Amino acid sequence: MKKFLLIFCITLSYQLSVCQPVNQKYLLLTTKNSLLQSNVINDIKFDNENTAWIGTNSGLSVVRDKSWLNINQSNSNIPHNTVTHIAIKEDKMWFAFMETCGILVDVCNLENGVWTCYNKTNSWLSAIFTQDLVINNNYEPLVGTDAGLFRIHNKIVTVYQKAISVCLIIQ
Amino acid sequence: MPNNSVRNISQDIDGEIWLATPTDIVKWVDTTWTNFNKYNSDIPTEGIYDIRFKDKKNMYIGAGSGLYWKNDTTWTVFKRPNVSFSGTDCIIKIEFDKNGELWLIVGSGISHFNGTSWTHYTRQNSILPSMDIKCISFDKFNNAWIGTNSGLLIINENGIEGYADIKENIHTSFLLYPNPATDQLFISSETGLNASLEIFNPLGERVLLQSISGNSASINISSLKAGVYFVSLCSESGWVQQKFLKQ
Repeated sequence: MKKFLLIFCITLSYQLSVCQPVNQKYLLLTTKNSLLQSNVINDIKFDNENTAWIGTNSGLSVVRDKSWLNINQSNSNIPHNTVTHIAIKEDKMWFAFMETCGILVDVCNLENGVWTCYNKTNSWLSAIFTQDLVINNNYEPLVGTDAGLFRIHNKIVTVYQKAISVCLIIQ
Repeated sequence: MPNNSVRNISQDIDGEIWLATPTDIVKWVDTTWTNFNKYNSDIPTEGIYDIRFKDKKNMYIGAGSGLYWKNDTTWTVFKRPNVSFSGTDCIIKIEFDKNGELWLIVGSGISHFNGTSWTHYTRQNSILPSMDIKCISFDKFNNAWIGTNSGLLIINENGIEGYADIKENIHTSFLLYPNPATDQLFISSETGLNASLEIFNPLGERVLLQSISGNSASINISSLKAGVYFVSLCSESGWVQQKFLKQ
C-alpha cells in the first residue's frame, strides 16, 4: 500500500490549494476551494499514516499533508464513482461502491494497487445499498446492507439473513 | 438474524461483533447469534441505528428516540428537552474521538459531549454546510472531519491542527471591530490586506463581496439584517475567517 501511494503521490500529487483559516475552529472544503471531486462526502477514514481516504459521489480522494490524489473511473479500475463506505484496518482496505442512480453494489479490496471487487454478478452480494462496512479481527470485511450481513473470506461471500445463510465461491 | 437491515456493525473490546438492526441488537460470536431487544432484555428502545462500546463497561445505543448509555448495569437516556439535540432525537451514528469523547450524528446536525457538557453544531451556529451529515472521522490531531452532502467540514475547538506547512504562508490573523457592529465594520492587519473580503450568512450564502488593500479597511454593513455573519478574507496566500454579530 505504501508503494502504491508513493507512486501515485509522486505522479499525480497536487498542491492543497484551499483557503484555510488560521487558528480557527472550522475549515470547509468544497469543490470550489479544494480538489474535492464532489461535495457529497459519503465516508472518511484515516490510515496508519494519517492519510485521509475520502469517499465521494465522484470518486475517491486521498489526502496526505499537501498532496491530493483523486481516484475515479477515468484513471483507475474502480467499478463506480460513488464511494459509499470505507474500512481500513492496518494495511487492509475495503471500499463499498454504488452504481450511480442504480441498484448495483460493489465491495472492493485495494491491495498493491489492484482492485478486486465482489458484486451480484460474481457473488451473492446482491444488496441494493450498503449501510456499514467494517473489517473484523480476522481481517475479513463485514458488509451491513439492506439485504442482510455479508462476509468475505478467501474470496467466499457468505450471506447472513433473517431466514437463510448461503455462500458462493467467486470464480 | 431478526432483521435483514443491518444498519451498523460494531466490535466490542474483545473483538466480538454486534449488529444494529431496527428492532434488535445482535451479538455474533462464531456460530452463535444472540438477539437482544426491548422485550427479551434490558435494552430500553427500538428503532436502533448504531451501537458502540467505549470500553467493557460502557455501551452506547443510538436510536430514533435518543442516545442510550449503559454504564455497567445502569441506563441513562439523552434526549430532548434534557439535551438540546438539533431538531430531533434521532441518533444516526456514534463515534469517539482520540480523547474518548463522544460525537453524534443527529438528525440535523452534530453533537459533541466532552464528559461534562454538550456542544451542538447546526447550520445556524456554525458553518456546517448542510443538515445532511454522512460521516464523521478523526485524524491523528483529533480534528473532526465531517462529511456532508454539501462539502467536507473540519472542526477543532482548539484550532485546526496538522497543516503547519500551509499555515506558514497565510495570514496570521486580522482584527475585526467593533463586534457587535451596526453600520460599519472595520478590519485591520499588520501584514496587509490585499485580498477579497466576503461576508456569509449562517446559511452559507454570500451577502457581500469587496476587494480591500492596505493595512485597514471599512465595510458598509448597513444593508445586512441583524444576526450572526462570517467574514472571510481570501488572498493568494490563504484564507481566514471570523464571526461577528450585526445589530
